Amino acid sequence: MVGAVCLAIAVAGSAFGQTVALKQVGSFHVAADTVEIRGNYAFVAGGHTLTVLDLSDPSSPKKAGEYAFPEQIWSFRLVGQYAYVAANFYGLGVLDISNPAAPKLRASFKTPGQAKGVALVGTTAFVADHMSGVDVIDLASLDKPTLRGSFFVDGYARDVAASSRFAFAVDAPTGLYVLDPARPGTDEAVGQVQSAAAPQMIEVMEQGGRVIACLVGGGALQLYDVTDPAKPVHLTSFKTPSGRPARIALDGARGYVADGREGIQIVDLSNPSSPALVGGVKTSLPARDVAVGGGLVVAVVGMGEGKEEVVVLR
Amino acid sequence: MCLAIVALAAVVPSAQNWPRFRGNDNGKIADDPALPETWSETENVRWKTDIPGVGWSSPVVWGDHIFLTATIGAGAEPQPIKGLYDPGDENGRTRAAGEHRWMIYDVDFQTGKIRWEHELARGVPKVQRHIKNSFASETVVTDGERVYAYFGSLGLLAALDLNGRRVWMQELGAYDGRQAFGTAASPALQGDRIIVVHDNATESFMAAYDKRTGKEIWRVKRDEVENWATPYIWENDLRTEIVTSGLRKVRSYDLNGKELWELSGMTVNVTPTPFASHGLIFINSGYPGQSPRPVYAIKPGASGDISLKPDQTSNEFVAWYQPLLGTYNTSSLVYGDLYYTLLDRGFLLCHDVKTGKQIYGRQRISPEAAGFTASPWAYNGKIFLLSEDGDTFVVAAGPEYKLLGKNSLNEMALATPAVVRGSVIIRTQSKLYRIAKNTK
Repeated sequence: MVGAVCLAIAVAGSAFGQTVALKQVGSFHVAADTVEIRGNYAFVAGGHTLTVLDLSDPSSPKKAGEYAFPEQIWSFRLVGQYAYVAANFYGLGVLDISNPAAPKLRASFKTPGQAKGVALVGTTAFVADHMSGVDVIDLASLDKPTLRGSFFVDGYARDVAASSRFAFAVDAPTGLYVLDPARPGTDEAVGQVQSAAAPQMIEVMEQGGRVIACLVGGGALQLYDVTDPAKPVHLTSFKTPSGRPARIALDGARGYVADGREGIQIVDLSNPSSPALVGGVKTSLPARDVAVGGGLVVAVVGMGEGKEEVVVLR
Repeated sequence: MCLAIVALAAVVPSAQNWPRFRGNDNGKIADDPALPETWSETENVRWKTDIPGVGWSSPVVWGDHIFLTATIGAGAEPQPIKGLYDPGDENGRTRAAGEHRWMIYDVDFQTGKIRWEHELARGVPKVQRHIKNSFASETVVTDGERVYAYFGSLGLLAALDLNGRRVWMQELGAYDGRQAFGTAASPALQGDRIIVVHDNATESFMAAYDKRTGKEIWRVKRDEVENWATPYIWENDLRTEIVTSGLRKVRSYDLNGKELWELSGMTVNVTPTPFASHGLIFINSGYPGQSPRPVYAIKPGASGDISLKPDQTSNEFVAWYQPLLGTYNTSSLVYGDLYYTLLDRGFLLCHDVKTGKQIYGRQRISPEAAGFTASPWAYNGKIFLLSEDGDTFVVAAGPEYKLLGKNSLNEMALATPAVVRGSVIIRTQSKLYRIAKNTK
């Protein structure tokens, strides 16, 4: 653990005159690729293991629990009392995290290939699978997950996110897809574009009746208006300071970007056609992922060789 | 009289021999009521034989000889994983440290017994391979006098007689490709010559060898870094040419190695073998992480650069083009007037062979299928699709997609089967099956 070390704070102005300052208040060394926050806990996936960190004292994160999968965890999402984990050839794992000290496997489903991303629309899981596209798994009964079908994506499925109504997937090299859970049994997306630049991940936000998809990849944030699912519209692409953004976490109309060597960059997305940099902080090592919640920003930093660090910022 | 003719036509036997990868007619087999349409590990199995070693080369058949290759490693081999996947930091490369034996087998068509085995060489492989590839992925070719085997992993080309005696052997050099995924392009037989293409990161070439002596007749350099597509001898109405598919260029050569025409616009990792039908040659590549993934239908007689310009879908020699129809590993099939595409991820599509117009779009064959690498084949109005799980899905030929059944062998399969004299010869990871109707 590192104490409340104040790193260099980079603050940028914006069209709205906002500035956001962050400083590091704590850290924890653990194998880490991706991170999410729930309450006082950070959930960190690294290698095969999902580790739970207690952030009750942000200056002194403590390991609360962990769960190891037989395969690499590519990504996960926290919804309700569960962590939905995309675990490579293992498929989808559902962990009950109501007791963070003892995450417990509640359900699993083997997808045809490598599970790489997951999102939930109600009790339906959408799993980005390298082989089959996006698999749709009915989790209404966790005792009996059932494959409802798969959506075809043109390339290799990379990630998936959800609004309250639709799922959205990205693939390599260029695809953004809108998937309708009300249309199981069909292979086809209700809307798609094939003009995204090497999208690696996707998050979605709903603001004032609009649904905005934020893609990360190709050296930029790529913003699409997906309010009309049949006609995704590219709004803009926003180049971050590093030119190599890795992942993004959304908090209201604000995006926190793990921006490689430029650390964590904060982007105002209240006008998604015109994003504005409003702050950021350099991290000691390249930022790989970021999560926001409970007044904290948690970043995974490192070179990806098992020597990563989880950094707590406030 | 008419009835008699019809009856005679109906009992024309299927191919007598299957001398090369995909046979004499690129997976199309003459109708034969004796050919099986259902099978399992026990149903309609005339015999099954364990094949020692590892090899994804396809079986070829001449008379009662079934030839195939494998390598036998001294230690445990990393097990291949089915499907298309992200293989991790090393991109799936694996280097074998232990000694291997490069084997050619002759299996008796009647009994399934290994008639002879020939160890062509032993040693440590000089090149790496992808975890899903093998050191014996090139299919042999035969003319009924000799069997010609090429191992790119060793850089050896050899001819054996039908008794397993080595007639000659040539060392061509073993080189890693740009990604060090190993080799797979099979040799082709053209008249008295064996044609070998070896695209790699060091010294890409195509060469012709005298099939009787192994002497090199000519060799041309190629500006390529890796490819896995087998060269195709295209005997069209105007000439005979050697068509090679490749990342940087598709190239056609005359029989002396002089380039006739070229075409740009392929994806990386070019694997499907070109093939001809209806007076056209079909060329495709379809690495799924890239777009476009083209299919080109080419007319005979081209010269120079026949690449499509932006926004073109045809030109004087490109009869038609489909930008997203290319396959990754499987070669496509023409049966009747229809062009069938088997996407590795388990979809079948159908297009008009003459125009490229879609007849039906993506049809998911089975949600459980792990993937497809073996190329499809057809007879008796049915298309056969062998998955990597060892399941052969049977689909009705014609303009409407209809899945008819599934025949399971329950073992990984990547090799394309041979079909001869009422039998389907299927190679799985460890076994060779002769599937034939049980007449008892």
